[in-house]
Formats: sequence, structure tokens, C-alpha cells
Amino acid sequence: MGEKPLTPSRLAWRRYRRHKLAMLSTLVLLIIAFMCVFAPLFTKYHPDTQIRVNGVLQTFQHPQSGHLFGTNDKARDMWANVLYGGRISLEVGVVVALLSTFVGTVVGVFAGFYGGWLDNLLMRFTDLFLAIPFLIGAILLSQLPTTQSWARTIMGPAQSVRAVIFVIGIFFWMPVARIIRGLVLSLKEKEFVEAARAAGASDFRIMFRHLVPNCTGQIIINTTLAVAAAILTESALSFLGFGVEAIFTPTWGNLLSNSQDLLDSYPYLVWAPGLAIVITVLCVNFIGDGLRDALDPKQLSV
Amino acid sequence: MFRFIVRRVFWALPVLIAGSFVLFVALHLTTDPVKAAIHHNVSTEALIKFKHDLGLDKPLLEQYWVFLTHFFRGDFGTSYTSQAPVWPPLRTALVNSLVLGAFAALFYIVVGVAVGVISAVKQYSWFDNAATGLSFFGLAMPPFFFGLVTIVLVGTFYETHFHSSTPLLPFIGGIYSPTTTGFNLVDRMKHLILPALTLSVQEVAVYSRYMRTGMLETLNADYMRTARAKGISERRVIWHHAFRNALIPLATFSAIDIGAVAGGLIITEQIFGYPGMGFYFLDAFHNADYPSLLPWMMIVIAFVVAFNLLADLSYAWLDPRIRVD
Amino acid sequence: MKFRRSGLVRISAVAVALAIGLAACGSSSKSSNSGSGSGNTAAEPTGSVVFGAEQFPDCINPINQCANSSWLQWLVPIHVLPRLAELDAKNNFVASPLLKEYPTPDNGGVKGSGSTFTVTYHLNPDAKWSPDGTPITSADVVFTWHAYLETTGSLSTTGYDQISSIDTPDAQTAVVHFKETYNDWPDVMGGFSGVILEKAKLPVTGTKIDVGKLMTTSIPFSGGPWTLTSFSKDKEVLTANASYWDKTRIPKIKTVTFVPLTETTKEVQAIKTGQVSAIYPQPSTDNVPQLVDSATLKSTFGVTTQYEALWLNQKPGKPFADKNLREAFSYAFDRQQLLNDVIKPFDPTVEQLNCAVWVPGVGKWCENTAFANLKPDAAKVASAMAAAGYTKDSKGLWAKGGTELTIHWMENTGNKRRENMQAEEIPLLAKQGFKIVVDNSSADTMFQKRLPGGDFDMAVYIQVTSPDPSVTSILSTGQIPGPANKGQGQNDTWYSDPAADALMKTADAELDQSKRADEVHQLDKILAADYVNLPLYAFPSMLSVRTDLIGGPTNDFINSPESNFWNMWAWTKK
Repeated sequence: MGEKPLTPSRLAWRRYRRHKLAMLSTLVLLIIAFMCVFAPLFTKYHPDTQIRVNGVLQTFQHPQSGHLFGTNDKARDMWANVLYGGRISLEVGVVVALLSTFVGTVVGVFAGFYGGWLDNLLMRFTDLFLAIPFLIGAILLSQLPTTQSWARTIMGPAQSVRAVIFVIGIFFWMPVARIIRGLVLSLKEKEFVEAARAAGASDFRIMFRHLVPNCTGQIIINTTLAVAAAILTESALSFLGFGVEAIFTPTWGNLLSNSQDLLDSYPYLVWAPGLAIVITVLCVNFIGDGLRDALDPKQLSV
Repeated sequence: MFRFIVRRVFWALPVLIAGSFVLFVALHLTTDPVKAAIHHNVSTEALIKFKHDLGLDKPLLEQYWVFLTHFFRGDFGTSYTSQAPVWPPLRTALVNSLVLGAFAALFYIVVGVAVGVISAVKQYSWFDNAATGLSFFGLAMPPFFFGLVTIVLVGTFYETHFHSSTPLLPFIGGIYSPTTTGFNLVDRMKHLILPALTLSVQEVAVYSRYMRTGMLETLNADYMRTARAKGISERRVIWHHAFRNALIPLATFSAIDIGAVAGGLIITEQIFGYPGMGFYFLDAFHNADYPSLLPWMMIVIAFVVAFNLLADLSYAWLDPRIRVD
Repeated sequence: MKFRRSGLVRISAVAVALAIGLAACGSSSKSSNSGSGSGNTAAEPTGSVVFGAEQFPDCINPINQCANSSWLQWLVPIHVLPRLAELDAKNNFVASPLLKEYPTPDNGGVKGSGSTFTVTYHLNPDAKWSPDGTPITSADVVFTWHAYLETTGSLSTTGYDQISSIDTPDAQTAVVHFKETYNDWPDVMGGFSGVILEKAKLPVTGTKIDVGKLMTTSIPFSGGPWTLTSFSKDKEVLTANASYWDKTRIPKIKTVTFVPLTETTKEVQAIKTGQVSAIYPQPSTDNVPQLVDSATLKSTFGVTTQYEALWLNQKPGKPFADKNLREAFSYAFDRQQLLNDVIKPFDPTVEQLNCAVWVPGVGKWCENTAFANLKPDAAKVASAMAAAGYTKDSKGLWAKGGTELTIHWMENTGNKRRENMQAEEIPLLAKQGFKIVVDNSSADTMFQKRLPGGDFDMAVYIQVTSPDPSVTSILSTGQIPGPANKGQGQNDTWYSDPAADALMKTADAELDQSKRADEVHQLDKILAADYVNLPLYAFPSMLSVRTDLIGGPTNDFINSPESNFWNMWAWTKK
């Protein structure tokens, strides 16, 4: 009775709405993102400001001192750092996810659509990247800009946000490429592709107007989960000393690894960035789960 | 099927060589063994001689070729740092990592599968909800953070709150307690627990989720409803159909997943000082010890390539729908 | 270390040979430790203790690259191997138990100059190798000299290559002939890091005495208070050498095990839970607050012979090639505030260092005055910047010809102390118009590629002072990397001043130690006037012990470059 027709996206939204955890996670993540993006509304401190009282540096102040998460070894307000650090962490997560999905989709579509030698070449190329253990590759790659100017042109200075995005992203596109290739392999035999071809559509048009849209569900799910994985990876790189430069560019990862040894003495300095990562990744994963239920009910969820 | 296998094996070799070459070049671009090895109080002539002795003044491709030919002849070379053959310490590291990896794998597969099965059979029960919550939490926790937290928990936290004078579990000494001499199975196992937990925290989550979804897919399938209607017992439905069907993608996944486990070893072994492959890598990397690093890379890449191959083959073999030939 | 912090250690390894102490000057005293039959019948060593090591070497050969880590010295050679001269707790060279007396000009041990310069060692006839009981002889000394020179990948041939021959008139006498006067002779086969090896236990094939492939994970002999029972990547076990000839140094503890504790969290947890009885960590804001004294824990602080300085790269084309800019910067940088804010929190007694490349604790080379007047001075900054041709632009930053002055500050990522320096100084310097950007990389890249390649504008790193005050290898014009030395020169900051070059040459050849000191002081003033660097402070050392588990004189060697563990034989188990 007066109900709008159920389009696929409306159906998906319906299914998504039923996933309570995903809905809750969406809300929490939006709040976190909002607080990070509009960080100045929630703290009066700049993350780089060293708190001084009468010229004396206020290192390791307790949370009761008017700093919600205390101050760290640099006498900086931890709450402000967690907020501003979230901007970078979320940026790394989102950009890596978008970039790797884009590259993976293009590789997967070309390989699956054309098949033959191009498929073989692209898939061996994918295998090559899969064969290089991620952390090893990332460690070596992250140092390239310091010695090679061509690498600096592409990646920016070592341990800049751009370089870290590049380093993580270059090892993130392969699973997407494989999934999309598999989907395209089965999709290209379907009638609608034949119909498009009969109507004189170019290869490019068939790939990006007909095949890719049919993979949207997979693409969205993988992008979402890549956000979470990228945030975690950034923190692992920070732990090993190859993450984003920690002095004037806080990220949750480098804040956590900077105070990781203080768990016994100043636990709040560790838990603040630690929980920021855990909660955010948790939310993103729940959203991914919800999206999977909504967009691709048959797919295995992780 | 045979042609498929041959073709994939044939392709694995170039991938192995290309992968190791990429890492070889990256290594040369960012580190210098001469500078790593020698402090400033050394004459310039000595530095030049050192470089020559190590063959580092030759073109890059030639150096790689020399390594590759020697490697395939079984000659792994001599470490720049210790002047000793590379293979014995590499073998020890490999064995240690395999033990840790196998121990962890046993743990996360058994626990992951068990949790997944129970969650699926008792969908939406308190157990399922708790397991789901915990596995998402495990997936969200940076492993190094988890490792450090466990050390404090079994260390000062345990001693203070349980009035003990010894930690709950050992976290120093690598594979044995400092005072243990010779082989001691109990001590060895105790030293595996924390590293294996750290290594497993994400894997258990992944496996249980996979298993749960895989089983639910079958349990809720139409043909299962028909089977039940025909009077097949629920036990048979669960074990004969759902469990077996869910294991297929899991087997494939476990092979692909080996790369992630290898990466996890670097962080885990670093935290616990466990003398395995990850520990070995970081050590050799700091010394820019190319002869120690290159066979390491070959072995690790070979492992990953082999397991990816295995995944492809098992997928083709286990799932009749995509038989290849 | 905690993996990320490895940089600091690397520095000490890369920087300068770890040879420390006072040069021969006036130590004519006979070592009080060298007596043989001191009559003390020591009690049987008992018990077993575990200590933590912040770093663990891959292998233990004391001659080749394995020795390129301070921790190797602290774990193996100082406990197991004999040496000629040794360092006492005040960092003076004295005779080790292996020597009957310390060679001096007075007792005829040190003779001649130039090509007739000789040092004569008289070995203690009681000195015996364990376990076989054969005497330690001059033949072992000759063997060891060759081993240092001929071993593949020998860590340092410095000094050994200055020896022309060694005469062995009898089994207990070794007369070492040098090619020219060699002021640093005590560090040859002794002092810091020099050792004597047992010829009979090291089968060498071929014409060269190359021991590089031996002693990788075991040393089958001992000439020290301890014998090495086992060494692997996860632990080292030392057992008391009950047949050591110096009865005053027979250990009181039977077995000492060292385990690697490379993560700070683990290190702190290990000592707090009593899994180890002592640790010797690099003090930092991470561990010091967690290792405060308690009923069972006691931490002691000392000063090492390492110093940290801010180095300015004077390579042509780099901003600091301009001496006026170096001057301006030196008067803009507040060294005292840096010490107060970054170093004092973990080292309350830290004092400003005012020598370019020497420290007050080692020799009499450092008067600690040359750099004393480098204090913030806005007027001097302004005049020097004007002389350098810089004016402030609209943003208040120094610029020349429309280009903003940008200085790249390189450090090794993960070294929190240095990152904290950058966090504090960069905003402060920005207020004075200096635009400084963080340009960090991993320790490996920094010390292996960028520092030797001159690819930085400024950097804080640690150097180690040697007993010999020569700095020719790191500051002379001839050591600037270039075609003449095939790019392998060691003068990483491209410092060049003919007056300094001349004085370095004179001082290196000076036999009279007090004249030499004057020349070094003069050199220090030239270096200060050239603004070669900004010396910061001598680096602290720290020992934390479980007082309920061990006792004895654990702090005696707190200022020694050979670590507190040096006199471990005197420690007791509780």
C-alpha cells in the first residue's frame, strides 16, 4: 500500500538495518570520525603543544591533572593526540582501502575479461606480490625514499603519511584482484554481457559499465575490511619503527608503540590509543559483516 | 588435472626467483654491509679491501647470479657477520619457527573449528554471541599490543594479584628457561604458550568465523531441509554434511593464510625473543648481512609460493564444481 | 634494545672503536691485582644466577665482526679471555693478572720513539690456560697479533698494523716493536676489547692465521675468572673457573646465565618478577620510572665514555657548509634547555658537555670550556645571519634570494630520546626563524647509507671517546669521502680546516703527553671556533639489581665502558 518498489539497494539497506551490531558500529564509527575530523571542538590543545607550567615541562601528568588521558613523555596532551592521531589513522585506512580496491578491481577485471596471456601475466604478477611476505616487503620499501630520489618523487619522504599509504597499499590489492577476476570469469558468460556486446558496446564499456557494477557488493565489502586491516597494519609498522613519523604526525599506531612500554606505570597512555584502534577496527569489521549480510548473503563472512 | 598441476608448478619457479630478486635489489638500495660491519677507526684501505673480499664491488646482477647459482647447488654461503656458514643457524631458526607455527596452527585450527561448529549449531545462543564478540575483539587487537599485555598479565599483574613469587608463564629465555639444560619438553611447551597465543589471536577469530558461516550455509540450505524432512538425523546433518562442506574452503584458506602467519612470526618472535625466522631476519637485516638474508628470503618465499600452490590445487581437488581439466 | 631502539646501540658500534680509558700517562703503579699467591683461599663457588642483556650478539668471535657490539664485549671476552693491559674502575690502564707489571718508561717497559718504539711485556709465570693447565706464553701473544691482522673480516686492525714485529726472548717475555710511536699501545691485545687467544686450541690451516671461522658459538679455553659453558641465540652460560691463577678473582657464584631481554616491557617485567637478578639497561624515560627503588630493587647511575652531540653537515651545497650559518645556529640552539627537558627526566645529574669530541671522564683531553660560551644569544644570531646573507621573510623565517632556509634533521626512527629532542627543539627554533624539518629513517638506513653518504643537514648521534685523543679519522680533510679514498673516508660531516689538520698531525706524533694535551686543547678551541658541532652531554649508564637475589660490589664498575658485569667474580648470590 503505497510502498516504494523494492530496489536491490533498498533491499540491502533493509537487511543491513536488521544487523543491530552493524548499525551500532556505524553510529560509533561516525562519532569517532566526527570527533577526529573536528578535533579542535573537543580539545583546546594542539597535539604538538608541550604543556609547560612556569617553564617546567609537564611530562607524565595523571588523568586527574585536567588532561583526560594524561600527558606523555613529550609533555603533550594524550587526548588531543588521540583525536588528531585518529585523523591520520583513518586517512591511512580509507585511502589504502580505496587505492587497493581500485587497483585490484582493474587488474581483476582485465585478467578475468580478456583471459589468455594477459590473464596469465596479471595473475603471475599478483602471485609475485603474494609471494613477498608483507612485512619484509614493507620494511624494505619504506626505506627506499631515504636513499633513492625517484622513490621520493613517487612516495614522498620516508615515513610520511603518503609513503606509508603507498607501502601498505602496494601489498593490499591482490586479494581483491583475485576475487574480482573470479567473479568476472563467471559473469562474462552471462546473457547481459552478450546482449551488450551485440548492441556494439566496447570492451571498456562492458568491463566498467556492466561487469564492475555487478561486483559492487564484493567491492564494497572488501574495501570496508581493508580499512580495518590497513589501520592495524599501520600500527604494526609503527611497532617495528617503519610507520608514520611520530614527532609531529601522531597516529594511533605510533602513539601506541611510543607508549607500549609504559603499561605498568602509565597504563592510560597505552590504553588510550590502543582502545582507539580496537574500537575502530571492531566497528569497521562489524560494518563489513553487516554489509556482507546485506549485499551478498551467500558469501562466507569472516 | 595433471596438466594444471604441471603448469602451476612451472609458473611457481619464476615467481620465486623474481620475488627474491626484487627483495635483493631493495636490500642493496637501502643497506650497506660494509658500513654496518665496520666502525670508524678503520683505515680507508681496509674498507675498500673488505668490500672487495665480500664481492660487493661487482655489478648487482652478477652478485645476484652468484648467489642464485650457489643457492641451487646447496651452497648457502658464509655470513658477513660471523664468517660462519649460513645454513646451521638458518636451519635452527627454521626448525624453531616451524615448531612455533605448527603449535600455533594446531591451536588455532582446533579451537577455531570447534568454536565455529558450536556457534553454528547453537546459533544466537550465549556461546555464539560471546564467541562472535571475542573473535571480533581478537581481530581488532594489534598482535604486538596483545603480546605486551600478556607479558604484563602473567608477570607483575599475576604476582601482585595472586601473591606469587614466580610469573604464571615464562616469557624470557626464548625456547627454554635460562637455567634449563638440555631437552625439557615441559619447559619447551611452556615457552610456546604465550608466543603461540599472540600468533593465534587473529587466526582463531578468522577460523571460527569461517567455520561458523560455512556450516550455517549448509545447515540452512534447502536441500538440507529436504534431508531433514526425509528423517536424516540432526547429528548426521551436522557432521556428515555441514561440517564436511565447511572444511573445504577452510582447508584452502589455511594454505593461503600461511603468508599472514609468516608475517605474524616477525612481530611475535621479536616480542618474546623467540629465536626463529622472524628474529633471524631482523638480526641479519640490521647487520645488512646479505648472505644470511638471501637464503632466508628464498626459503620464506618458497614456503609462501608452495602453500599458495597447495591452496589452488586443494581448491581444484576438493571442490568438484571447479575441476579444471 | 626493544627493536625500534636499536639505533643507539648501532651508533656506538658504527661510531668509533670502543677503546676507552686513560692513556699511559703516569700510571706507573704496579697493579694491585696482579699478585699471584695472594693467599686467599676462596670458598667454593656456589649457586646460579640469571642476568638480562639488552642486546645479544649473533656469534662470539672476539676478533671479527661478531665483536661489533658492546654487548659481546660485556658478555664474553671480559669474563673468559686474558689480556695484557686492562682498565680499572676509574678507567686507568693497569696490568691485568696476566702481567707481572705494567710497562712504563720508568721500568723499561716502554722505550724509544719513532721506528725504535717498543713495549716489553713480562707475563705472569703462574698464568695458565684452563682447562688444560698449560702456561700462557709469548707465543700466544704473537699468534694473537697475527690473528687480529689476518682474520677475514677482522673488526679492527688499528694498532696491530702499527706493529712491525714481536720478539719472544723467552716464554714469558714479549717485546713488541712498533713501526712508529704508537700512543695507544695499551689497547693492543688489552685495554678495551683486546684479548689474548690460546694458540694450541685454535687449529689454523693455510699460511694465514685466520680464526674467523672458529669461536663462532664456543670458546674452548679460558684465561679468565669464568669459562664459557655454552652460547646460543637465546642464552649464554658462564661457569666459575676454579683453576684461575688469580685467587682473588675466583668467582663466588658457580653459574651465571645471560638471557636476551630486547623489549623494554619484557626487561622491566623480568627483573620485577625476579626472573633475572640484574639488568644493565640504557636509561630512558621508558624504563627509569618503572625501575624506581623498592624493597628488593635498586638502581644505580653512572656516566659512560660515550657522548651525544648535534653534528652539522658541512658538505658543499648543504646549508651548514656556511660557517656563518653554523655560528648563528649555534647561538640559537639552547643546549641547556634540551638537557633540562629531555635528558634530566631520566638522568637528573646530567651536565652540559663543552668539548667537541672528548669527555672529561677520559684522559685530560677535555677542559670542558671550549664550547662553554655557546649559549642562546639573539644578537649574535642576527649578526651572523646577516653576514650569511639571510633575511627574514613574511612568515618570519630566514630566507636568501627568495628561498626559505630549510634544514633537514635526521635521526633514527624509534629512538624516543632523539625524537623528543626534535619535538622540543623544532618549534623553539621555528620561533627564531629556523625552519627545521624532521627527516628520519631507520637506524640501518641512517648509519649505513645516509650518514656515510652525507645525505643530511644535521643529526644527533653518539660517539665513543677513545683513550687516544686522535680524531684524524673523523675530522681531517683527507678523510672526507672522495675519489682519493674511493668514497670510503670517515669524515661524515665534511669538516675541513687546514689549521685543524696541521694540529691533528702534530698531536698524533707527540710523545710528551702533557704537550699533547695542550695541543688537543688548542684543537678543541679551533673546532669550537669553526662550530664543528654542538656537544650535548656524556651518556649515562644504569644498573638495576634485585637486592634480595644478589649482593657484593655490583656498582664498582658503573663508569666503566666494560659494563658493571666486569667484576662479576666478586658478586654473591643471596
